[in-house]
Amino acid sequence: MKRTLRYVQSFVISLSLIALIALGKSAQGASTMGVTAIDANGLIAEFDSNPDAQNLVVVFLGTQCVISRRMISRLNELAAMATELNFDFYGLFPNHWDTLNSINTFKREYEVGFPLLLDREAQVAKRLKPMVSPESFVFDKNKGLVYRGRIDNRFVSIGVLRNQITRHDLFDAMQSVSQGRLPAISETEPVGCVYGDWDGNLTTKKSIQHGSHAIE
Amino acid sequence: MKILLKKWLWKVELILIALACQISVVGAAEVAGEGIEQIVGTRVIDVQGNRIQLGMDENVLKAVVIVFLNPTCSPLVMDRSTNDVRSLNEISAHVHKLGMKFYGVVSDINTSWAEVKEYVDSQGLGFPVILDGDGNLAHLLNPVTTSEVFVLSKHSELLRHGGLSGISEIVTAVSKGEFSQERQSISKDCPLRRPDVTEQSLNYNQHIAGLIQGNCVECHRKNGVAPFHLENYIQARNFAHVIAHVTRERIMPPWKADSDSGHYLNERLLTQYQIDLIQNWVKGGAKEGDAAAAIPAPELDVSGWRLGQPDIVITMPEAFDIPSSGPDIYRYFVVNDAIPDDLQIAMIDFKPGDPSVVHHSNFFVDYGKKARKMDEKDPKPGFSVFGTGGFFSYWDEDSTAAGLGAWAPSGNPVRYADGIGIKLPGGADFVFEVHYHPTGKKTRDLSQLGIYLSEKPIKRAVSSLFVGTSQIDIPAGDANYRRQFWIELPANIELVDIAPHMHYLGTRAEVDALLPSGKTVSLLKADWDFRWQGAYYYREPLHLPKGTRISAMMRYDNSADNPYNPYSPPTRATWGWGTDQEMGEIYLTVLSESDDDLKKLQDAAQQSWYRSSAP
Repeated sequence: MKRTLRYVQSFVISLSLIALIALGKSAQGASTMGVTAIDANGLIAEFDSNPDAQNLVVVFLGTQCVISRRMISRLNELAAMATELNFDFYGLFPNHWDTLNSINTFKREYEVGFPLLLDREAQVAKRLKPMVSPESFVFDKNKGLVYRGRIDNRFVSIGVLRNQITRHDLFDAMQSVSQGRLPAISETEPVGCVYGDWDGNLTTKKSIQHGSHAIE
Repeated sequence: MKILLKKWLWKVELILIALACQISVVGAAEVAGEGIEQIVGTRVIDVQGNRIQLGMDENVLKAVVIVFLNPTCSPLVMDRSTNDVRSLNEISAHVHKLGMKFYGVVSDINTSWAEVKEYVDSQGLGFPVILDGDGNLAHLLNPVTTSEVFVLSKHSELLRHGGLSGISEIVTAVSKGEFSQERQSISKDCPLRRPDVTEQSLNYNQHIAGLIQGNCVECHRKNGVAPFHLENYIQARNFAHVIAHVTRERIMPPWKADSDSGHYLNERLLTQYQIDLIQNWVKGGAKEGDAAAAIPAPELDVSGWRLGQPDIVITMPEAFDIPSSGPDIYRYFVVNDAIPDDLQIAMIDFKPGDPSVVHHSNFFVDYGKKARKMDEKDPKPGFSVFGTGGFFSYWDEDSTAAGLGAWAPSGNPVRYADGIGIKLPGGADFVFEVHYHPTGKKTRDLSQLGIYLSEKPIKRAVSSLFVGTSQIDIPAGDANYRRQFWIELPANIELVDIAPHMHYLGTRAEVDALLPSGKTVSLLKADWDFRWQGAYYYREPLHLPKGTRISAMMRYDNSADNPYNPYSPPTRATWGWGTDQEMGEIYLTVLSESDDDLKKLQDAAQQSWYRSSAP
């Protein structure tokens, strides 16, 4: 019962997300994409009118998080494979201090090869509740959320990097979905920069102010 | 006459107050707070915004005198012998003259920085006054009243605890080594009200700013070596959860030695009290608080030279490009004829060109021009080889190169006490070995070494001794491999610092000194992390007499559970310079009593190597 409920919840979230991203996709360039996506209202209705919805990977990132930065080259590789595996692939920035400017600078400096979105007022983060940046979420277009967690096991803990990567969890999840299967592992513990409590005051305190600044 | 009478009456009044307030007589041990051994070395900011490491500034001092103050309860002191009223400034001048350091501490619930600053200015206090915003010093020392004085040795032993009365005589006695932990009466006329550190009241400006400024900002700042900045409230709040996590897990501040293995000059530790405070601040919403309560941020040196402008700057000959991703890069850069003349060096510091990619650097001087020949063969800046690739060897008679220290993030600059330093002969090329770790962003690095010459002639030159073994053969999958080696000192030494060295499989280094008296002294107990290597500097050179046996135990984990394992699945690992091979060594910076002694010590180190390396 619990499991069913979870899938129902996941499905709703996935609908919202896919709609959200779909809106973003129609805009050209990262500069408007982020805000448009996050400003969207009536998300579920929008999804209904979007017959082209794909499977989806969303990775929560942070412009100032050193672990996010170090994982970009791997994410670029996965994003390059995404089309073949029938996935849309997005990076999402929910920290209230990030702006379109900071994200575009990040994209340029770290040579990010996939679209990045500003999660204004952490609307998406409040639903998915990522624990750290980077944390990935994989949605099957029919089954909803099927995997959340680490990209791979490069980071064992903060400051401890594996010399040999032995688990490729995000890739495995994407591959399973593309083959019509559920991922063998649905959840792993991600290592990264801790976001904190999305329901608390701390992370959302000044988000409106910062968000407005971003639009200017 | 009137004036005299008034003065006399005032004295009587003071004496009466003093008598009336001697409510209880308390022994030092009963009052001393838990964790008193953590006081010396604590990093704080004074009300003028100066960065202070208690008892560590201006080299190592004999002792530390800490007096708790209250701006609303001004302490004047009755001197036992003269019955004179002395000001705190006079006492601090007396203390400083004796080679000790005098600090005032305000640890009070309702006192803001502005009030303390006004008090310090109006009283013209000429010694550092610390606003104990987080209450850490009060927690460690556990004073019950203001005007309470603690005298601690540089090893944080409590030498004396009591009131201000008679303090001049006591510090004089301490300076002569004549002290007893005597029981002292403490006046309770100004009860100390500790800072309110409940979750609801905790805020950045009053409680957290000083802690972060003192312990984190040296690296976490603009142009600093750390990846994000913690220079103000907004930045600290944005990373509040990260700060809570890494302090709770003791990942930060980075310090690998066991807290009970002894105390070092370059130690970086928060107390459990401070860690709990951070957790509660974050749980309470990481509040900002009143801006007037905050200490000013210390001025940060933006030149990148922590000790000021060096006398000599050696720069990499050209910038090196680091790609955005890929494996770590180990590269040697040679500066031809960098040291033409003999030098007497007091201090050394390193300035990474791009701190985000420079992981650590080792320094060498090469008198045989071997490194530059290797550089000439490689078209790119510098050259890459396993180990030092032949320009430096340990026991080769023809070796014409020597190590000159190392730098790692969070490491202190190399700084010797007066009269101690490095005597470096001229005619050398300088070699940087730099370890780069790609960060996701393409960048260029142009790092520099700063040399500070000794103002006075060096009376005692430091030398480097290294002890280790090449007999390392770790079976695949062995999670608990150990190697032990030892040296028996053929002459007296004073040990300045110790640095263990292993590669990715190394997990821990434990080094003991068995003295001729039969007593064992721990020299180091530290987890090994290839990414945070560095030297451990003793608070004062440690005298080890002839006949002392220095024994090292190095531990390795060659199982798949060791995340640093370069091979998956694990394979057998043997000795070698490569980072996929292993090493087991300790480097000792020592002062010897004569050149003859040094020769004997070097020979003993070599014998130790051959003995422990024999199959």
